[in-house]
Amino acid sequence: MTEPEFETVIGLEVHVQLQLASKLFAPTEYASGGEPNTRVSVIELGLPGVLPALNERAVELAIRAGLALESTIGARVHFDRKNYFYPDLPKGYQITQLDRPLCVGGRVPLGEGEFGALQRIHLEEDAGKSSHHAAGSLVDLNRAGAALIEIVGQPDLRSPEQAFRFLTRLKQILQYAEVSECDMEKGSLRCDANISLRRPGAQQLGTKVELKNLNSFKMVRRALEYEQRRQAAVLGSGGAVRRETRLWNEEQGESAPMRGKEATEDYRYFPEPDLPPLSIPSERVQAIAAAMPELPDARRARFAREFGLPDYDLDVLLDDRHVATYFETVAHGCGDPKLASNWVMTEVLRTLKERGSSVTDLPLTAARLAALLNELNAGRINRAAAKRLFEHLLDHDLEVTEAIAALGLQQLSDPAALEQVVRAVLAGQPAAVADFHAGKQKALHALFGQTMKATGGKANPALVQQLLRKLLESGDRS
Amino acid sequence: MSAADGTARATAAAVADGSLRAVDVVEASLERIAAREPQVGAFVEVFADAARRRAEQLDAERRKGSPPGPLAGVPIAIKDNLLLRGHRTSCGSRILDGFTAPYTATAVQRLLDAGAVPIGRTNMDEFGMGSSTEHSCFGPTRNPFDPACIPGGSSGGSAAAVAARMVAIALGSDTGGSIRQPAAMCGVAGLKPTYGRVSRFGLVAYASSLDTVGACATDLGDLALVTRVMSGVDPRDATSLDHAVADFDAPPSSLEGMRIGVPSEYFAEGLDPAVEQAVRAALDTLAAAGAEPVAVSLPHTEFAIPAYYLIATAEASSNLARYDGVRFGARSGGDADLEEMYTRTRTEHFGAEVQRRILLGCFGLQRGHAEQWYGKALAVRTLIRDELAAVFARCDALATPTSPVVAFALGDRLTDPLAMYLCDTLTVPASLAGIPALSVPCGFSTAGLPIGLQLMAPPLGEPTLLRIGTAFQSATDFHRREPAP
Amino acid sequence: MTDIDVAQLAVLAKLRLDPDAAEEAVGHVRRLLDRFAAIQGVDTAGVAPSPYPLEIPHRLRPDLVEPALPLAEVLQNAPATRAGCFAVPRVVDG
Repeated sequence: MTEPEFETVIGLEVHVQLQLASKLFAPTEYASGGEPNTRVSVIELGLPGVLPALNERAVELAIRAGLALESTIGARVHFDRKNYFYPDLPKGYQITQLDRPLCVGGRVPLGEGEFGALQRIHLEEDAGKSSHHAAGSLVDLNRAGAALIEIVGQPDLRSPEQAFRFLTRLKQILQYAEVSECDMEKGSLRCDANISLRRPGAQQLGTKVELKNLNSFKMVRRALEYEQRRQAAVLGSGGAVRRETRLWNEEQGESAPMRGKEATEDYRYFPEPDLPPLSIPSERVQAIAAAMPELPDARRARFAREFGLPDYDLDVLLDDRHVATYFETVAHGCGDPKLASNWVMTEVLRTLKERGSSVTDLPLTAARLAALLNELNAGRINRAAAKRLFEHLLDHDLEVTEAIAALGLQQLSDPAALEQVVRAVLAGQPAAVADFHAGKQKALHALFGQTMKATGGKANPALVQQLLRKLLESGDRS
Repeated sequence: MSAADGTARATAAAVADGSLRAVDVVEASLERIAAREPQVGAFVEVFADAARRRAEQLDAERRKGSPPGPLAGVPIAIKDNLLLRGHRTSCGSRILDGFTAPYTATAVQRLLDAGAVPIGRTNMDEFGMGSSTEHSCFGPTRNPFDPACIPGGSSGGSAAAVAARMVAIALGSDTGGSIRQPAAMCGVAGLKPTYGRVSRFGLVAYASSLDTVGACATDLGDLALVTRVMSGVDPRDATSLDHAVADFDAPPSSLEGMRIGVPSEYFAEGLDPAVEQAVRAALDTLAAAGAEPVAVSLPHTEFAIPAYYLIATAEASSNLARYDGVRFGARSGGDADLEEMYTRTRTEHFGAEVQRRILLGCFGLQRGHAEQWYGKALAVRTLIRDELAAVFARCDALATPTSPVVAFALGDRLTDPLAMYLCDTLTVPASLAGIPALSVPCGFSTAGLPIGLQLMAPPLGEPTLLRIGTAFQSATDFHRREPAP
Repeated sequence: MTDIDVAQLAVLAKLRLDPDAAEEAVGHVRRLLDRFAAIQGVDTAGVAPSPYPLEIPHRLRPDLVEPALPLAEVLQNAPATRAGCFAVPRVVDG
């Protein structure tokens, strides 16, 4: 391929909902869903006379996000009002941060020594939701006032693929830092992208287009690829790209300009007088850093050291924080990291994909999977039995021993009962018994196999060995 | 019926010891309102039934042995921009048509907890934007000393209610002089506390960095008490001050050793000679009480009006964005498109002065203008605050006129916004600096209209103000003069 | 003379400024600004702006939940409601 005609410049803006009990400025529960307007107080309603009161934990989580992404934490920050009218913006302004954000700079590791630089991370309140119907629009304020951080990337990503990796890694880091669940489907992570093209070597950025309605990372990548092609075609034919906001339509695989957006919005930002400036002492930042949950790179290094797993396993296991934690519990519980890794990477991840659920919702807890693998490792059940057991435990809230009993997989460990089986096997295999007495050790293996077969694999193998030796050596076959 | 000396404290003490019933106190206040209200028009609503029920309940609780609060049974008038759950709040505006408060302002709740009885809502300039109480959708309030004149504003209803002795205490709010100026024009005392001293939660915002909740009263001990009861940190107001609230009600004492600054700029052109004369005489009275007057200069005072109006209107343009016809209040054009609904709702329900200030505020924050107007005003505010602080390094307090003029005739300045704004010339510096300021009656014009003396102190200096005010009142009787019925 | 973009100001303020009203309202605003322009002459070089009157330490709120306002009270003051929501004229896009 020859030198590309244009260089692509992509910037991402990511809104992440913080994992909190209450909203950013009001002591009202926030959770997604719920009947409309049932999670609202006078504060999010924007009633006359109400004032914001900042959630301490929100500040802590935003600082934690900044530290996890290597930002500089501001020593003294303040909030600003962004003024515009919209039915789901109750006060007619959004409380956000303009010129003194909580975190400045920072970066997202993209792998292979590359990074996506950040401009800033700031705290702001979410808006409510409007739903549009023929008869008019309806406003639900449940989400209004929920705590968000906005992570603003520098416009220096060079490809849709890089943007995809940026988002994947950002989500992973924020999940590990326990800042947010970053679940796009539930709206706890939202992303807007802007993209422009320019001739290679050009100093100035081209006219940028903002893309909205991007509901998954794959959609972000597809929309950027589409826009890259579209702009290249416009520029290639001597045209000019219009500065606009475009909505992505996933079904049609294309974007269209958004109507009704004021061309020149003037938000008339000014410092929020209801919230005094906030000083953040360095000791506070240090304490938050000290309490930082283990981040992906650190956990990867530790897993490599403690469990000696190959890179491929680490990539797969560490992608999702909950999966990694699940794996770790299984590995410690069964004492066989590679076995644990194999089962998590195959059975567990396949199940999650099939069911579209999170590992935290799986009825088969890590402790149970560890118990299951212990049974397998000890040879008390075979691999086929282990898989049956796994499937059964996915849908039944049972301990492993209970499930073994329920499925009739429990081994025969009653010496008297087992002795009857062994005696029957020896009686039916006179040739093998003779071979044993002639000193052929292989005969013992054959007899062992026959006994296990006779019990459908359920016999306690150690006990069988013991009984075989005892009966063969005593010559007692009655 | 009220206690012997007519003060709220005496009334509360009598209710507490059972020598006076709260129901009788309330009934006396309602009778007084019925007699004086037709002439004055201080109230937009009198809570007659609710007040009687509450008084009965207070009496019953006392008989059961519940400890009565420091304001037990005291009727209090509430400016119509402080929310009281279950009651209307309208801020003198048609845009709040039909609005019922689902919560109670912190300041009001503290009065309720102290045993006070809300007796009604008082008239005001729409959203506090005015200096005459003429900009109200309910019509003007009249000055009890002369019904042809304005009572001052924006807390004109509260000041007039106290002046006409309908209540001993009325709550107000002061953004640029809205307690002090009507107090001066109605011949009562009015205290604007330090910014943040009293929670703003439940005070309908006009200009958030300037708004304060305070009160008017005839008796300074009452004023000290009500301010103390309302004061203190509120977790729902991040700008409320976390300072221990001392007992403001200091015993009268000599002013020996106290230095009182007299800034020459407050006696400049535009000052009514009668006002100047009364204030100069008041300074002599303070000197006679032991204070040492000190000539000081505050050269940026002339820029306080532009700085104040640019900051206040900028904040107001944002604070008043929530009146959009969506969640509460009036709506017009609900069948039209959204933009039309917004525009019609706001154009048809905000009064002319409010619209003017919203436009002014939007302009000052507009891209391309913000630096030159809003930003410049914030820098000037710094200069004004710093020069006040420098003067307070040398003086315990400042004494000035409260208003450059006495009450003027209704309608006189209604068509000239600038003339109206200039009424606030002497009160806005304290607002910009967030410092406490007190107005006490210090004389009357030849036409018999009251004149106020303004005292200012550094942040948290309320006790100093009340001490000086008390010393002044023990030497004078302007505060005892009642308007003729 | 201060330059005022009346149309843009009306959009920002969500107020209708018909030609007549505009002349009066904007005329007042312009005269006030002409008077307020006096502050342009104040030397504020190196002076920090004061959006806040006093230095007040910012107290934060613990992340605790209080009961929500009952739905009936959320909607009680609304000019129009439907299906538990605030009803407004149809919003285009968004």
